[in-house]
Amino acid sequence: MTVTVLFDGTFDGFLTIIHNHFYKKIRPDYIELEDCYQQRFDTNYYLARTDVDKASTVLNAILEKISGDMANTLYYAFLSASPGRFIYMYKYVVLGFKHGKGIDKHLHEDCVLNTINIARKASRERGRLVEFLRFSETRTGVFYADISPENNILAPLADFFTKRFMNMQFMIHDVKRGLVAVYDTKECVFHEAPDDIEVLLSNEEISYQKLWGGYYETAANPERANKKLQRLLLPLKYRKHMTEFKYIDDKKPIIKR
Amino acid sequence: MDVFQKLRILTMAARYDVACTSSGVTREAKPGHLGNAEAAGICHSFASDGRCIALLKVLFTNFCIYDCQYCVNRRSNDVERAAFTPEELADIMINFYKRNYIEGLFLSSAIIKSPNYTMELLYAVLKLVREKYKFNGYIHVKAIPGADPELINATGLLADRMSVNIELPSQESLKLLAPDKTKESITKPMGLIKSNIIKNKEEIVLFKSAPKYVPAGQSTQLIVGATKESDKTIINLSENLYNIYNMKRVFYSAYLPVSNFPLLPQVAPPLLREHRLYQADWLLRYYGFNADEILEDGEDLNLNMDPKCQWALKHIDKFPVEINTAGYYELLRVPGIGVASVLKILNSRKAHNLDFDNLKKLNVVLKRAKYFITCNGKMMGQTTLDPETLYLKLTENKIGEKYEQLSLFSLGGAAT
Repeated sequence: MTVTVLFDGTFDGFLTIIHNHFYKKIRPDYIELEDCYQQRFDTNYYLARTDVDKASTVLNAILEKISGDMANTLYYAFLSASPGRFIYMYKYVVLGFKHGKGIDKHLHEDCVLNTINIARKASRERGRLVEFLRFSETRTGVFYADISPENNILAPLADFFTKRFMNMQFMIHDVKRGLVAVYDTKECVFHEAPDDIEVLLSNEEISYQKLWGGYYETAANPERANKKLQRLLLPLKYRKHMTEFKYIDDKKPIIKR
Repeated sequence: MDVFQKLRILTMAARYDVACTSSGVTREAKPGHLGNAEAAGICHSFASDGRCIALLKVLFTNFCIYDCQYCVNRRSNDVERAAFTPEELADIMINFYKRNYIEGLFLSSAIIKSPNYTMELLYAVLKLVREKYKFNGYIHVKAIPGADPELINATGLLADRMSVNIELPSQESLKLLAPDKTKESITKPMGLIKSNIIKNKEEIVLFKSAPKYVPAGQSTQLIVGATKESDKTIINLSENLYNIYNMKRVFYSAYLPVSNFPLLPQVAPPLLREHRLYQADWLLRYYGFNADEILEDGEDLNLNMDPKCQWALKHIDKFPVEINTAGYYELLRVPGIGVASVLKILNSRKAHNLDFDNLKKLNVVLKRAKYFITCNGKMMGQTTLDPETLYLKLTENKIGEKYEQLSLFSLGGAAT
């Protein structure tokens, strides 16, 4: 019989599974979410009840005995949308406690390589959005941006902008997940997006969008046109939220709903 | 003239400048200030020519007193002219930055009235942006050749990177195409910036609060294909610029025909040549090569294959390289293996002996490397270390280009 552990999908829940591995000897072959999993007949189910104390014990142990890099990798792997990630992450941590600091050298182990790759993918998407996210100024002076990332990277993304635009009120809206990050120049809070977000642009906003769209078009050298390279570096999926492409699409002021 | 038109004209005038990096300096955000800077650099968009847009790259003005033949803004050229006021430019730039369109400003200018007058205007813009708008992000500014050292110094204290374009790779070409410029007028400010940077580094050791002078270093640009210099001359020049002037980057710009001047070529820009020069440039900066290893005197880079492959075929006695034992620089010289791959190999082989499957999993690209490496003494498949055979294998796709894939329709056309 194989073992399947169910948990609530929080990071603390995941760390509780690691705690159970060492203290309750529950060693999962599969890890799934408790509210959404496939019934199997050849497996014993265990429910890992999220325990904040256990979780912080595990996190401290990771930081102390393995490395901060691993904690970071786990964080991004956790935010990733890759479906099989939990079991790789679990094996990665368990192996980490065996090898200690040098765990990231063991790239020939699937769990290490896969976790690192999954994490890198999520972190790269955050990097891309740091580049491609576009704010628009609203009438209340709050800057609004919408995104629809594949991975749930709203939190580390907002972190970047709170550092960059310390004195600017802004709101980043993950349209895909219905989440918003709101920063009021003091702290950044995350919550579910209300259904009726209405974005009214300020008067200057439209002329800056036009200026930018015009700049974007003239900055290219027509003699060197290379759309293929452009698409490689700036994939189409990001463009629907970008001011300059909306400008090119309709060549008229952009009014966001 | 409204600001829309000005921005269009002065963007168009600036787009022949290729440098648009925002890298080289990390600066934390400060309370009350706007923005920060990341050493890795951030590109905010990519134009339809595939080049990144990281900075608002504009000329302050395109009114010019010089008549350099390769330049679109030369005095004798009939183009629309415009000039920003410092206020207009600062306002556009700050508002772009707030919307996350750009990473900062790249300010250059044609020479209006005199070098000193132009430099003063650039200084005024920087001062406005830094002091009134409290901008804490990235600024790249051009040092105007012939401007007063005091002015260049003062501007450098407000900028992150400063550059002087060398434009043409030799004194003779300069004389031919840019009669108003001399080699000295270009190298003098370069030397000045360099010595200021060194002086500033010493000051910072003594006084922590000393203002930083051009912390991201200086860069330069030269035009490729407008004159007859060989690739070797260009690579040699770059090596000297890196060694003597501590350049962070040398940029190469394939010459785009902007003039009917009889001495200038009227052909398509040599984009592939530009690409190969960048590859050779990377070999100088990151791979521990020097110019004499890459090319013989008077030689050009082979357009069909990258410079590292070329080097490897000439030094086939140094191969194959054993993945599990070779050192950092030995691995770096294997065609197709770059810095990231080498680091992964070095890291991973401490824990485990590597074979070709492991390499593939590590995403090490074996397309070219497989001809030059062994894993545990074995090569990958049947391969030979004969340079001529390898040359054919490595250039397969490119040499084949003169033959085209027949389509049903073109065949029909040929038959009639």
